[in-house]
Amino acid sequence: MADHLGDPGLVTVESDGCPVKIRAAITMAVAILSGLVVLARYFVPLEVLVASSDTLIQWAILLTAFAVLVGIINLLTVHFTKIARKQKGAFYSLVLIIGMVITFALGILSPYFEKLSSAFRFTFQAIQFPVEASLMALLVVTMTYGSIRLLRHRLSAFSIILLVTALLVLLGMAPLPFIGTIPLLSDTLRPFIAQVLAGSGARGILIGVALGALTTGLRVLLGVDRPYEAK
Amino acid sequence: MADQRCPLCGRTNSEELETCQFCGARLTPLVAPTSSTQKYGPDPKEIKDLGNNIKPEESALPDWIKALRNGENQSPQGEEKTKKPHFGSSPGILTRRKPVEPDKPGKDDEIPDWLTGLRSMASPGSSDKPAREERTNQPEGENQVGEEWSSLSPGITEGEGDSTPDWLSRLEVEPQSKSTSETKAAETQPEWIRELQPEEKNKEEPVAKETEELPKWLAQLPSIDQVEPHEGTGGEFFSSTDQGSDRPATEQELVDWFAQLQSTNKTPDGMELQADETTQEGTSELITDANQVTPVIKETGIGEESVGGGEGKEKIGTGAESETPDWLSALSASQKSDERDEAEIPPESMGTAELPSWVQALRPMETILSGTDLPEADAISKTETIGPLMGLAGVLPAVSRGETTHKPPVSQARLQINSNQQKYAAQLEKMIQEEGQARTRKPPGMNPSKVLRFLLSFILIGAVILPILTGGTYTPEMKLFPSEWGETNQLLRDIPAGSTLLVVFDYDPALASELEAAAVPVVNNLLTRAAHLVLISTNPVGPALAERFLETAQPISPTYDLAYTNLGYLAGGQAGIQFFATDPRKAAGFTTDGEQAWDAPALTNINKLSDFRAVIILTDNADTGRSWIEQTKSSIGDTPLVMIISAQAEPLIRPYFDSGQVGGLISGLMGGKTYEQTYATPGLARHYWDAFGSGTLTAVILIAAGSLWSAVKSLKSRKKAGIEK
Repeated sequence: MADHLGDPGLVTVESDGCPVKIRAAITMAVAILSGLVVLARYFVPLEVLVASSDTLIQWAILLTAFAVLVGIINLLTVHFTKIARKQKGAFYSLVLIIGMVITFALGILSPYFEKLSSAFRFTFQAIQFPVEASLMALLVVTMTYGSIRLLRHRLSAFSIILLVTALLVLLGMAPLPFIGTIPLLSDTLRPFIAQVLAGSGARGILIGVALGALTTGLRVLLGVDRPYEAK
Repeated sequence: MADQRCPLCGRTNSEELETCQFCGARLTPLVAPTSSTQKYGPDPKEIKDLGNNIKPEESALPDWIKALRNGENQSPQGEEKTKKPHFGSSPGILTRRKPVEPDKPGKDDEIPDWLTGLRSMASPGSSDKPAREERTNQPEGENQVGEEWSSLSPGITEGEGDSTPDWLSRLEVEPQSKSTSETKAAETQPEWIRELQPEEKNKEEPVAKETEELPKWLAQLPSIDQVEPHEGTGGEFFSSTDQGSDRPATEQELVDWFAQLQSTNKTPDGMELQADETTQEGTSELITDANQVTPVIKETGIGEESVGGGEGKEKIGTGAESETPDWLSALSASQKSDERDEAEIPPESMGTAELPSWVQALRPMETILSGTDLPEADAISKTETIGPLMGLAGVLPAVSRGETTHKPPVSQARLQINSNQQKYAAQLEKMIQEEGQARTRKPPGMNPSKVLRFLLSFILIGAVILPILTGGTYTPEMKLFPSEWGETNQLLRDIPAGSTLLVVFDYDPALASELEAAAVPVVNNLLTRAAHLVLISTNPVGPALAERFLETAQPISPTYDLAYTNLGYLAGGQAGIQFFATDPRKAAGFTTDGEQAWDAPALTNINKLSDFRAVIILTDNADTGRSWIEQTKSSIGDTPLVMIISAQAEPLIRPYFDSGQVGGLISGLMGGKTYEQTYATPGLARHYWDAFGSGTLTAVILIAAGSLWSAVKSLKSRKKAGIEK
């Protein structure tokens, strides 16, 4: 073992000719041990394992919540800098900061002041909710326009299949004025497309996601992947 | 004596010194000897020394020179011009060593190296001493020049034993036996002339007919007349002397040739030497020493060489003008004038060979960068004799005299690129040029795509708003229910009254309308049965959405009593869900009002997730729904899980319903309408139903019509493109 002269905080160990940082080794050991403890409680429901697992999960939740707070602080810093340097869009940054501060204050104080509670509810229902709903409504127009232009730019078999499928699902799902449901389309074709074709694809996606999560977990447990190490 | 400044310390030193007397640095650059300079290049220092001894007074001339001049004047064709001492009439440089008089024995030692080299080159088999002895036995006078020439051409001298080469004599008479003279001349030619012949033979083919009377090798040599004499150079001198002189042209031109040879340092093998001082700092001035009858080179200006005598200096040509010995071309005045017209080819009219670019690209770099070669072997073998590096060889890079006089080599920076690269380069160039050009702005107005977008917006908004504004019922009720409805309905019915239910609000405000329409009838039905709702969300805006949801929910009956506990935001994502599933009390201990969440009477028996009577998850995101399903699987026990989801998340959530992990599934507006229609409680779903139907139908029509139009246009453009191709 020899001290690393360049960085006093780092101690290197000669192992098979390769220097290994003890700090990294400790980090890896903690990560693997935590994963094994949380995983083991499902297989061996010992009280110690359950308690340890709960504690670890609580720490993780705290860290996640703190990460949200860090993100908010970072957002404020970025926009403050933009205003201080009078960059382009500084006015919108100012609006963002004002809105954020007001909403934060209302959210903190609303439990203690009834009037502020109604004001806090109003900011959400009169501003945030309509804005997000309007954006979704715009998506309808954009999707329709994109569908119209699709064959103009890419006239191919797959484009035609995509368009025909979308039209069939829409017609089979929506109740048509004065017509209602289309017999063959609504009760046979649309369910077949949505539940068999799309369901098969979705199951494949889900199985792939599960295998990916399993592999990732195993790699972290085995120390192959070390996402906690700064690169 | 001029001083020279040390390049290192800047102090002045005597010109004679090679190294600085103060710092020891070399004052004159180390020069690698080239073969040409060793043979012909007069040492500039020596030349300068000689130039200092110039005594132009004619009275100081030795007797033999005076006699020589008198002889010139007494020549039958003598004219005034020939009286002028000029390089051709005087013994000149060839005869300056002639006075090997006994009273100047030491002069032999002062023979410059370049002349020695020249002699040794000219007579490789003979030493200097026999040559001098031979010269002393020969008569002085006009034939002096020829004598010197004979010393340079031992073959001729030895063969004939006469002061004038026989071939010259025969030329003066008449070249009767051409074949024999050619053979003889070829035998007696110096080696360097024989080497010169093949090259010049090719160059002088047009002139060969006119000079057929000459020996072949002479005729093949380039005539000096091909070079146009220009003003201020030796050309004037040559022209004046040639026109006016009646002396035998061979003798006169012989000396001129040699003077030019010396001035241009023409090597025997045809390689033009890099002039030392002459071309390094300009040119030199040849001055004939009156006393020693020695041509002395004195630095004057650029592009000039002047021959000085007792009366003054006359300039002689340098450079390319004197590349060929003019005495060879000036055999006769009549021939010369004829030859000028025919054989003189202006250099401008001789176009350079134009090779194809790809051939030029294939040339090796050595051909492009010619003239940059250093005599590396000489440089390496050069040993320092002075200074601190004395005794070391190859330490300092030797500077070639020729190199210093060279112009910097013009390397052709021609890229070797293929056609594709050229095409890309052209495109890049075009792009760069377009960058500099002002773009033509489109005329203000709406472009077609914008118009289309606005049109689509108006049509869709109108299709959605019209049924709401009119309030009519245009769309019939559902006749077919979703396949999952039966199972879901049964599960919801089995929930006992007064149960505590966990309702998760994990959706965004954008899709709130859809989810509210789907979930409000279900929640209303549960509330009528005195269900206590525990609200929680992993979305920061979830608690606010939950409050809005409960405000939006319409009471089904007057006995409606809203009882709920809002636990607010659950941090930690999947870990938070997992922790909440195992220990809800620890995971979310307080309500959004800051009160203890689990103090309510309905929640006293709730310690874990399985204690809830049912878990209802409202989500528009398939991943969020999947997290709740997977993370609560181990803790939920027998508690039914009902998913009320957006239609967009159905494909990914439905597999969980099909596999039994999800007990009930209500998807989108159709699910809510199904519930309302089943229980005959019209609500939001019914309100949106007509607008939903008309809007969807309008969108389908627009997409179908627009796609057809786009396909036709695309096909037309393809056909047009095919025709153009």
